[in-house]
Amino acid sequence: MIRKELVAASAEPLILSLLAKGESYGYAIIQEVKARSGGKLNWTDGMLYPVLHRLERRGLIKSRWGESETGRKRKYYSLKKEGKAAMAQHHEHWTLIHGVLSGLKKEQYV
Amino acid sequence: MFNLETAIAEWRTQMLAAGIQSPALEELENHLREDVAEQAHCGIAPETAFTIAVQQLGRTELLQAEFAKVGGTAFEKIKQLFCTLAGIPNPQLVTNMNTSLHKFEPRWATYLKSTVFVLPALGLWLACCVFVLPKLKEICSAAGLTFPTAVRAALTGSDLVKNNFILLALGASAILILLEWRSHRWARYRRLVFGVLVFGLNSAVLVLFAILLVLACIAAPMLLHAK
Repeated sequence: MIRKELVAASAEPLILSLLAKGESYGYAIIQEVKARSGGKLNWTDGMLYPVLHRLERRGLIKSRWGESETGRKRKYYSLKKEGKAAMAQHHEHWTLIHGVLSGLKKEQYV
Repeated sequence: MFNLETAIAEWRTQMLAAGIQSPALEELENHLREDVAEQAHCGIAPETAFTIAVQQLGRTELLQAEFAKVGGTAFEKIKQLFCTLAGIPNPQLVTNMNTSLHKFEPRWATYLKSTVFVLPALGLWLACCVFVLPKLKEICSAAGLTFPTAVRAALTGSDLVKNNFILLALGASAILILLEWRSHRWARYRRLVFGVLVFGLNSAVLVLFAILLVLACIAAPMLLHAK
């Protein structure tokens, strides 16, 4: 079980990186994160939407109402240029943390 | 017997009561439907699927708190405030997506209420235009008080409405008849539109009276000095 603080902190980079692959919507984003983490990264479904709305307000992503295959209204999100920059920064920070952590881990076994 | 539509309508009402509003609510509803459909695909009974999907969405008060942190745009906030003042705290509920499940206020009730709330203001305004305004203009010109531009514009607008009253009433009736006759979505928005219109008209009359009162208070002492 991943701590909820870490889940919350990783939500933004994950969403931005997912949207970098192309337009998507709430349910699909959750399913993809679940599948890619082998079911270990389990978001409380509803909590994704406030995060999406916040990203939109900050101008990192944009949204439009489209239609689903069944003809219902569905809100699609896509990445903006500012979002790409934010994503790059996230990647940089996470890579840094990961580098420090794996360096320390290696030293433990030497 | 479990009915998904009824369950969703009930869930919507609960969410609205908790303060989660459109369009976020529409998004959550779509999510819920998709989750239920996906589970049904795996052979889970609709009732169980619905319960699981609602649980998976998370606790309502936590969700509401998160949505509240995001906040709405300035326009949304003003719209919400205006609708609340007009006596419609939940315009989302009034314009619900599920037309079949929600009983709308009957047509006669909306029209009757609007008429009752508009008539006193309308009567007062007409009486004021006919009896008070000419006298006030006379007093003001005698006192040598010229109206500020904004006031003059408001009075001109009021005069325009008064002079073309019959034409305007006919036009409004024609639009209403057309809407009732041709539009199937009108039933959903009728109460909201009338609530806001009646509130707007009453406010306009109130503002006009306030302006007249202020003008009278300014003109009276000036008149004394003029003599």
